[in-house]
Amino acid sequence: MRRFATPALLLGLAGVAAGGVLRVYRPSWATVWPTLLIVGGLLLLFALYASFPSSRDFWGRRTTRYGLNALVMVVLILGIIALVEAVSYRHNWRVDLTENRRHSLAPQTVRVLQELQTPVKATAFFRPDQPGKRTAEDLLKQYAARSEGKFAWEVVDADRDPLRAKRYGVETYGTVVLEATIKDGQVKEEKITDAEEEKLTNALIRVTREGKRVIYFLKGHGEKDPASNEKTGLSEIKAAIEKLNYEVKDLLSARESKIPDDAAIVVVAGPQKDLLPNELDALQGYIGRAGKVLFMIDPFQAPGLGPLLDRYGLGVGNDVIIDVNPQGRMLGAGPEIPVVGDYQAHPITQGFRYATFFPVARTVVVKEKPPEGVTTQALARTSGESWAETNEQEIKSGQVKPDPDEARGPLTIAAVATAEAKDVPQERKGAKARIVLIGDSDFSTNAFVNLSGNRDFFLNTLSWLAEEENLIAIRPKERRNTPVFLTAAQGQVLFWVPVVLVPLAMAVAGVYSVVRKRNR
Amino acid sequence: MRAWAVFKKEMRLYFSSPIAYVVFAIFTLVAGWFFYNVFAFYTLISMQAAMNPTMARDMSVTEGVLRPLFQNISVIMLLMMPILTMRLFAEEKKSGTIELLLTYPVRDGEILFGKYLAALGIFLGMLTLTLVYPALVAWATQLEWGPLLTGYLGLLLQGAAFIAVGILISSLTENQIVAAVSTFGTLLIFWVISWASESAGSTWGRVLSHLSITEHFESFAKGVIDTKDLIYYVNLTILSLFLTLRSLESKRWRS
Repeated sequence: MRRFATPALLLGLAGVAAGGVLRVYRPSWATVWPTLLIVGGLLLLFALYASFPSSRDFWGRRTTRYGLNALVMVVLILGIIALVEAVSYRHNWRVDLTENRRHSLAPQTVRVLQELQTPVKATAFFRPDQPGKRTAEDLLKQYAARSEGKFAWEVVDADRDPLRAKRYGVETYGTVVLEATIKDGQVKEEKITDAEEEKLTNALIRVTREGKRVIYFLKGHGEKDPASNEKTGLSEIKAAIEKLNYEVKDLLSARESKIPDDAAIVVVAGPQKDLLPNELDALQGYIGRAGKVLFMIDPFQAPGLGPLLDRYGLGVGNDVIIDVNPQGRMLGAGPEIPVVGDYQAHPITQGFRYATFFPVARTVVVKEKPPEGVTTQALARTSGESWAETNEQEIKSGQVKPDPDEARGPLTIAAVATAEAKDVPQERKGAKARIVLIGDSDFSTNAFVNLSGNRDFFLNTLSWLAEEENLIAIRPKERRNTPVFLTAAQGQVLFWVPVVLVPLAMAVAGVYSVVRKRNR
Repeated sequence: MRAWAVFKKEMRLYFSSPIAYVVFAIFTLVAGWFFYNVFAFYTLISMQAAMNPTMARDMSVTEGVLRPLFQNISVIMLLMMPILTMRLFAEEKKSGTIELLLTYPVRDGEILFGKYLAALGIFLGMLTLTLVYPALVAWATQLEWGPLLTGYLGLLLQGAAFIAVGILISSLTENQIVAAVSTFGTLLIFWVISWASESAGSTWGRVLSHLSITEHFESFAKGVIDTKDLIYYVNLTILSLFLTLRSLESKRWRS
C-alpha cells in the first residue's frame, strides 16, 4: 500500500489546487470544483494513512502515547487561558493611580454612555503637535471603551483636511464635533471647543436627546410675527431657526402662568404694548430657572419692561440713535439706520466681521454696578458719528440735530447679562440665566434680515442663548502643573549622567571583569 | 533549592562573560539617549507654555516625560530581550550539556525556574539602572508617584512575559541566532497584531487588539492598573513556561 502513497499525495494536491483555482475563476462550474476538492482531499487523507509505517504499530508506540498526552495537556491549558482571557476582558477592574484620577470617567459620564441608544461619532480637530491633543485622545478613548461600541471617535488634522473642518464649520483647533443619527436618519450635531469631560458629556446628552427643543416667540403685544411673510414678519428667521433643529412656537403667556419647560429660548421681538404683570412674573420665574431670553425693544415702546431689565443690570434709553457715519451712507443706509462694525469681545461676536444694520434703534444701558450674581457686558456699539436723539418733536419733523444734552457715540445698542439661577434643581447647580437685550427688532424682519451681517448676528445670538451648560455637573480634574526650567548646569547633568556616565560605568565594569578573569 | 543552584550557575555565566555588561551598557546608552531627548523636548515645551498661558495647564511631567519614556523602554526591551534569552537552552542543546543536565537529579521545572529567574535577574538589573531617570526628573520637578509605580509594574510584567517567550523558543532550537530571531519575530508580531484590528471587523478586531502587547502596556504607562492587562501578561508568561516544560519533557521520550 505504501507505494501508492506518493502518487496519491501528488494527485491529491493537484486536485485540491485545481479545485481552488476553479472556485475563484469559474465559480459557475458548481459541480466541477467541489468534486475536485473532495476527491483531492480524500486522496490526501489516503496518502497520509498509507505513508504511516503501519498504523497499529504507530498507535501502540510509547512516543505516540507521550506525544498525545502532551498534546492534550497543551490544548487543555490553551483552553483554560482563552477562557480566563475572555472572562478578564468582560469583567475587568481598574485602579487609576494618577493624582487627580485623570484617566477615569465620572460616574455620571459612565451612566450617560451606558444609556446611549444611538451611535455617536466624535470628530476632534487638532494640530498634530497641539498640547491638549493627547489628553483629548485619552478622554475619547475612555468614552469609547465604556460605550459598548456606541461611541466612535477620530482625530482629524484641521490643516490637512480643511474640507472637513469647513463642513463642520470648525474655526479653532481643539474643536470636537459630535454627530448622532436620531429618528428617520436625521443627523444631529453638537460642537464643543474644549475637550473636557463635563462639556463632552453634556454635549453627548444634548446630541442624543429625543425631540426638538422649542424657541418661543412671545405674542399678544404687537410683536413681530414669525409666521408672517410680510416685510415686517419674521418668516425668514423662523426658517433659519428650524434648519438648526429647533421648533418655533408662539407663546401666549397671558393665558399661562408659567413658561413651558421645553423652552430653549423665549424671544420678545419688539412688543408695542406693555406686558401684563402676570406675564412679567412668568418671565422672571423662567429666568430664575436658568432661562434664556432675547429682548428686542424698539424706541418708545413697552416702557413696562424697564423694572424687569433693571434686575439684571440692563436698561433702555428713551431715544433714537441717529448715525451720520459716512460708511453707512456709502452702503445706502439713512441716518436713522445705525451701522455697527464695532463689537465687544464675546462668544456671540467672536470672529464676526460683518457690519450689522439696526433700523430705528434705541440705546441700551449697561448698569455700572449690576446686582449681585449678575454680570453684564456691552455687545455692540455704534460709530463715533452717532448720537442719541431724545427730542420726539425733532424726530417727528425729520429735522434732527445733536443737542448738547444728548449722548454722543459710540452708543451701546446691544448688551448681554448672565445671572446666577436660584431656582434650579441640585444637579444643575451653577447653571446660569442668559439675557440678550437689543435696542431694535426691525433688523431681524424679512425686510432687513438679509442685509450684511444681520442674519448671522441674530443666529449667533440665538445659538449662544441656547447653549445649555451644566445639564450635568462634573467637577473638573485638578491639575498639578509641573513645567521644567533648567539652568545650564542642570542641563549638563541631564545629558552627562544618563547618556555618558551610566553606560560608561557599565562598560568599564565589563572590561574590568574580563581583564581580571584573564589575569587569574 | 536546586533551582537556586541553577540560578547561581546561570548568573555566573552572565557575569563571567561580557554578556551582562554589554547588555547593561548598550541598554543604558540607548534608554539614556531616549530619556535625554524626551526630557529636553519637555523643557522646550515648558518654555513655550510659560509664554502662552492657555497652554500652561496641560504641562504634566508624567504625561510629557515618564509616559513616553516607559513606552521607549518597552520598545528597547523588545529588541534586547531575545538576546538575553537566546542562549538559555539553545547553547546547552548545541554543546550537548542538556543531556547531562537532564540526567542530574534535578526536575525539569527546577532547571527552567532557575534559568528563568536568572534572566529575570538580569532584566531587573536593567530596570534598576533606569531608576536614574525618574530620580533626575524628581530632582528637576515634582514627581507623581502613582504612574511611576504602575509604569514599572507594567515594564516588569512585560519583561517577565518576554523572557518566558524567549526561553520557550530557546528550548525549541539549538541555534542561538535562530532562537533570537524567532523570539524577536514572535514578539514583534504580537506587538503589531492590533494594526489589523481596524480592517478585521468588530469581533475579530477586538480579539486581535486584545492579543496585542502594546495595547496592554498603554494603561500601565499612563498610571492605570487594569486587571485585564495584568492577567494578559501573567497568562502569556504561564503559557510560555508551561510550553517550555512540555518541550523539555519531550526530550526524554522522543529519542
